[in-house]
Amino acid sequence: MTSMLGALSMVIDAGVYFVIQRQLQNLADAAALAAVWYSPACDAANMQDAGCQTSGWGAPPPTCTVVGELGPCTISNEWVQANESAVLSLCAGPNLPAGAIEPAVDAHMGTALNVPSLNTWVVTLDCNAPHWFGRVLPGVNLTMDIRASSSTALGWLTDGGQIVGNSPPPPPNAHLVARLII
Amino acid sequence: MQRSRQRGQSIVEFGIIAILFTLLMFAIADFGLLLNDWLSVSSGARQLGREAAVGRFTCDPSACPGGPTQADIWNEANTLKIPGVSADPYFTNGYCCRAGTPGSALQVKVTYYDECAPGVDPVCNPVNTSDSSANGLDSRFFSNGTQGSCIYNPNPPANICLHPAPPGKTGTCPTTSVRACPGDTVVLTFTAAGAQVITPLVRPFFANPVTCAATSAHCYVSVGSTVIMRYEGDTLV
Repeated sequence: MTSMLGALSMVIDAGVYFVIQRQLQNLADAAALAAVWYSPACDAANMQDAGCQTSGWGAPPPTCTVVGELGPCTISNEWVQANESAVLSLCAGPNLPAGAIEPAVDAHMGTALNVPSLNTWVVTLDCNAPHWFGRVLPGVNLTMDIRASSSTALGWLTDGGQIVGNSPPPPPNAHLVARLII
Repeated sequence: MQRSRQRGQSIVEFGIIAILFTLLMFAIADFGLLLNDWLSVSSGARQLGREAAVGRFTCDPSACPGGPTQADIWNEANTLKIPGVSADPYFTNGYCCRAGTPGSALQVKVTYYDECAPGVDPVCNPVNTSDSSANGLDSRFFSNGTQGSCIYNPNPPANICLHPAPPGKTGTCPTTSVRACPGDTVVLTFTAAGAQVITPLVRPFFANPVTCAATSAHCYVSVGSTVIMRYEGDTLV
């Protein structure tokens, strides 16, 4: 009977893990695809305190000329906030304080990615989801860490299907698109 | 005599345990199948949400500009492989897939929100489908289950319908008064209403007078996923 309960707990916990990971990935994709359209300069004051990083930047970010315009850091957090209800409903579990588990946002310019695009953006999310049944077994942690990361690029899409930046100037028929790059 | 009584006791004990044992066995299989369904639905919602975000039509297949065979989100949903969900005569309205229509095995609902994101902005309204001005939704798109009433004009800037609109953002910060339509929000909900519980012992957990009645041969569980994405414009990428 113990082995059967163990098998049941493993099926449910593993299934819930994959479902939450998929939901987190959806959330990260939505946040990164939305944020890559915005200039980091518009969010300069927000970089340090909204979970975003300033380290690792390459060229200086372009100047934000419009006061009050949102930047990618704020946009990332907004889209996480818009989508997080589905994730939080799974992350929040029994015996855990209300509101103690939330996805953590770590968004930054993806300068390490070798993509000739106008801009790149990475959003990484972490969620400490509960072990629903595995917790009754010895040696199993109360929660499990689930992570999802999404990298996006903004650039000009050419007729050949490639994304290019502003240098050299994009061909006349190109139009601006955001793409997942990992 | 003593041994015979012990044997009888063992049979009774086994009978009790066997019920629990079987219930657990079937619960493992059924929950595994349902979680697998949920995983596929979440993945499908992400795929359809992205397509809605880049302007793939959400029109009724029979009314799409290119006719029923034109690739649109509902036809796309029809091709998704959701384990255990297939064409079934139980669904009298067909296999797939009209937005908000009860009785379909797969259901897609797409809603466009005007310059706001639900859950973030305190006031956030869907795009008005019946608005015939430039802020309305053109006839290729449904929002909140209602088809847009604006006439689609494929030649911007003469296009009289801006929602959903061609890309208006070029990588620079827009002025607040010209917040382009590509900054809108699209919310896509994908539901597999045809996921089945296959074992009678688990059916009581999902009892429902319509979808999982005790007298019905089938027991269906609705599994859904919602994705909220930034609308990027009619890029069709």
